[in-house]
Amino acid sequence: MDLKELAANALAQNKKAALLVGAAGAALLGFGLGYKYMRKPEKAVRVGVVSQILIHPLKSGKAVPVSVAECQKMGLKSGGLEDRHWLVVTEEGNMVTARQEPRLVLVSLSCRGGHAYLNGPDMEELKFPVKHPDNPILNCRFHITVVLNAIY
Amino acid sequence: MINRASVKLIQDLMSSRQDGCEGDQLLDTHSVIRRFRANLVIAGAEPFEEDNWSHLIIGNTRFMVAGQCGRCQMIGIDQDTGTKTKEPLFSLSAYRAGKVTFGVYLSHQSPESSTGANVLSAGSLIQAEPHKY
Repeated sequence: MDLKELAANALAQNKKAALLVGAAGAALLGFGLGYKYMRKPEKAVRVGVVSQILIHPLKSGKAVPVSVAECQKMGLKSGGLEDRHWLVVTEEGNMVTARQEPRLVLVSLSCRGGHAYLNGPDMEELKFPVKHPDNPILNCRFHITVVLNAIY
Repeated sequence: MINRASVKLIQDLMSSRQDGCEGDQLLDTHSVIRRFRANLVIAGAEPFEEDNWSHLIIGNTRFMVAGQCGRCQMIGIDQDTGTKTKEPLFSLSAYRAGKVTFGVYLSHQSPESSTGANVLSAGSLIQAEPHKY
């Protein structure tokens, strides 16, 4: 085999290799574009499990751990208790939270038989009917960032 | 919604800078979790990974991440005694450098008609969709 023949052979093989590389490149580009435009917009990945569900029926009051809760318009609900459903207000209609009264976090609220019960350290149980159809509606002053329909 | 992995990180930071006067309570994971007064506590893998999620599927229910939850001195209230401590806000703001958020707000997304799709249970699996950048 002389040098000329060898060179021609190498050239032919290189051409074949170049063609193959070109085809592979085009296929890769196709797959890439397909992946970019055809796949679902976002892929959900498993990140963990629910460890606890907590409901605070009284704003700033004691948390109630539950195992199941329903998502409602105004937040979570479980066993007749709705999250941040009740609010302590002064006679003037100002809201009272743990910001002013940190010991409010010790107060628990439960509901049974149409009544709500408030309990705390060194206090007698306070009981009141859940429905007060005859009571006037009190306008209260709020100063919080309201995140509607949110789950905390 | 808060993430136990983030709670763990804040706890570690607090115990490393602990000055002894208010440490005991804050070394208990459960008491730190309660200070954030969240509805949902998840067992996630990475601290603050929830900041990168745009949507969540919890069990069969889909949620939009409506925003990050800004924190203030309210997390200083010990939920067992009603007394205030500087922690965990001190460690949280030192770690987060200005942006004092912890956990996210979720907004329920499943259609009203789909019955049973709006119940959350402890132990449910959680899937996340990351933000698109």
